[in-house]
Amino acid sequence: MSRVLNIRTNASPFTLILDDLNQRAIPLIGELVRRALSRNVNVVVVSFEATRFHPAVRNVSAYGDQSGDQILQDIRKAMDDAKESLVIVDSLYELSNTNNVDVGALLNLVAMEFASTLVGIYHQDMVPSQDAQNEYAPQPLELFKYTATTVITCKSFAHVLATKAAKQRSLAEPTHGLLQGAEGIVQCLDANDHRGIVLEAEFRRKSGRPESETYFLRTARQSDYHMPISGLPFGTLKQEFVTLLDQVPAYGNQEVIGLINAEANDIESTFNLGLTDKQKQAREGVVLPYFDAQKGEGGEGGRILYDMGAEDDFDEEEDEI
Amino acid sequence: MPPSTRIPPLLQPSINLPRDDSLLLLTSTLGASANWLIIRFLCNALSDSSTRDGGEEGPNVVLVSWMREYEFWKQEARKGAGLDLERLRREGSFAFVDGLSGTGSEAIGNGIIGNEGKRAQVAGLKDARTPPISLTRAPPTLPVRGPPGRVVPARGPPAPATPAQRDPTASSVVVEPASANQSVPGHYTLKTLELAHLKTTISSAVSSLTTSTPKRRTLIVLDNPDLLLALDPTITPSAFTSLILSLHTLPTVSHVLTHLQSDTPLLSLSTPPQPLEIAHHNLLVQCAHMSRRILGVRVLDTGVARDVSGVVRVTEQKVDWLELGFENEGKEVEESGKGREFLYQIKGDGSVRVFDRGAGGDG
Repeated sequence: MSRVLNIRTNASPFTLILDDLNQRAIPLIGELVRRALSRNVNVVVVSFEATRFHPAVRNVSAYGDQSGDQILQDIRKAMDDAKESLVIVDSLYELSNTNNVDVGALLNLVAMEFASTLVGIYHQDMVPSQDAQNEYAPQPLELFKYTATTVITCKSFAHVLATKAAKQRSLAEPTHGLLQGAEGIVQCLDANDHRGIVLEAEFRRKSGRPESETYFLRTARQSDYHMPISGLPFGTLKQEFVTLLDQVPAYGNQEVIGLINAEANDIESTFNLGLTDKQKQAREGVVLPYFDAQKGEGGEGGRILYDMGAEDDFDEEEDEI
Repeated sequence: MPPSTRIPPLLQPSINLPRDDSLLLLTSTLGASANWLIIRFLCNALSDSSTRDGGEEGPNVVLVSWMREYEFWKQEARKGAGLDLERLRREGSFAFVDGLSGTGSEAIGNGIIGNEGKRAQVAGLKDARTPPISLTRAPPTLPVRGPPGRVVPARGPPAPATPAQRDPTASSVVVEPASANQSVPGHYTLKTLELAHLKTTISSAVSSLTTSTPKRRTLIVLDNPDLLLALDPTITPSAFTSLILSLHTLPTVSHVLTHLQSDTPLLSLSTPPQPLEIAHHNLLVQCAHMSRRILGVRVLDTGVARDVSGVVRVTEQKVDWLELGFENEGKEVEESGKGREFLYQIKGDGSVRVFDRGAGGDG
């Protein structure tokens, strides 16, 4: 993972990142770009979804009416004077669907000619359009998955925790966001968890052997990096902070899981069945009639003993004490 | 009245525009309209008494509306936010682009032309634009319009059910002929459904504002552009998002707020999926991916309540391309990292009460 994140040459020529609304890929991309910039790698972003960029990043705006060839030419121009580049496409869906850029051609250009790295983001919640002409052609996503040397799926940390809790109780896994089925919900509340994101990665070796692992990338802090050398926007990394998900304390911790379980165990009703401290005290203070009857001469013959509280409203006609 | 009383304090941080330039998305459902929220955005941007942290003036606003006419917004703004749009428009800090009455003015003006008339109208527009192509393309596209036909009657005519509940006068407002508006500065009318025409109109609206006050930024509000998808099947969602982006790259434009419908019938795909469903779904998802902040308005999950009009949910994506930022040390991240949800109630006088779940009382 560290090799992929650090854009080591030949680590992975084509990395496919799958994200959705519940967890966008941007924290991961930010990390990639920071590390690339800190090693003086030329970063080119082919953008379909954004207009404002960090000044150190070269931007090829692909939205609008450009044809596929034009985009490829722009990318070539942006990479021309650099020794090593990182090319990021922020929506492969757009690239293949509307501009008809062949991913093979793009990969050829980036990986073969310039020996650089291509990173593509694909939003999983986009629905591919139906086309009567080539109904039997594979969906673009399948093609990308087939071509990619690394496939990373982004998930929100909160959702991974919830899924784990559900699994331990042998319940159905919860769904989030658009899948939730409630009308009008686009993004769920704990989407884009700021603690970090969970990456399910599949690396494909040259031999064809796949390796899968789940990682946790926490949000980067200024202190993770050395002071930048003059001329570079970011300093180099001090110590790797991507960890395996199993090693994340909050994930393995029984306490967190216990909390989620406890929440699920609560009886579901529209009434609050619990007692506040004040209510508990009041309840303990009540003297029940039989206590009074056991005292001395056997009570006063069935009178109701009741102390007026502050909240009681005394009515002369009805109440007698 | 000062703006702070018009904008509920709980919503204030969500309505304040983010400091850096970004896109915002607002979604609503049929039962819970988001007009009040748009009005609050207008109020926050346009009210002159607002003194911001940087001593900076509020942005100009261009409101592009496909669903409601100017009269509606004028009245809503006066009622809900105490804004005089007419004055602001004359001063050059507000412009309105009418997306509906120009494009379909004959159909709406005649009043009782049904769905077929509307279709013919749209087809006629296409014919006028590119006769040879559309003539050949007309037969295959007509069956494709099955779903728009289902949707248009509910959304096409002015004043659907939602505003009528709160603003009975809006339904009785007669749409003025498009030609009468031409002389008024700050009022534009779209004449075709074409995106290129839309783009030039909005750009000229934006530039007309900036000449009057050079330093101010501009906020563009797009109200229900998803109507375009239904009216003209040749418009693809990605063409529309690239339009949003190219509007965002106009020199003075700082924020673009897009308002889309997020009703389940439009989003969840039936089998086999209808073209409009796919288009709408993709448009919404892509806008959501692009946006920094998403505000969703929907009805209460548990059913109708007398003292709650609906739920507003705010989710935010902090990291973006501009900063590639590190986590800010401190509390700020902690509290705003998660999405929040509030209940709201719209009162008869146009004011809005926003409160946490369970903190409603019986207001």
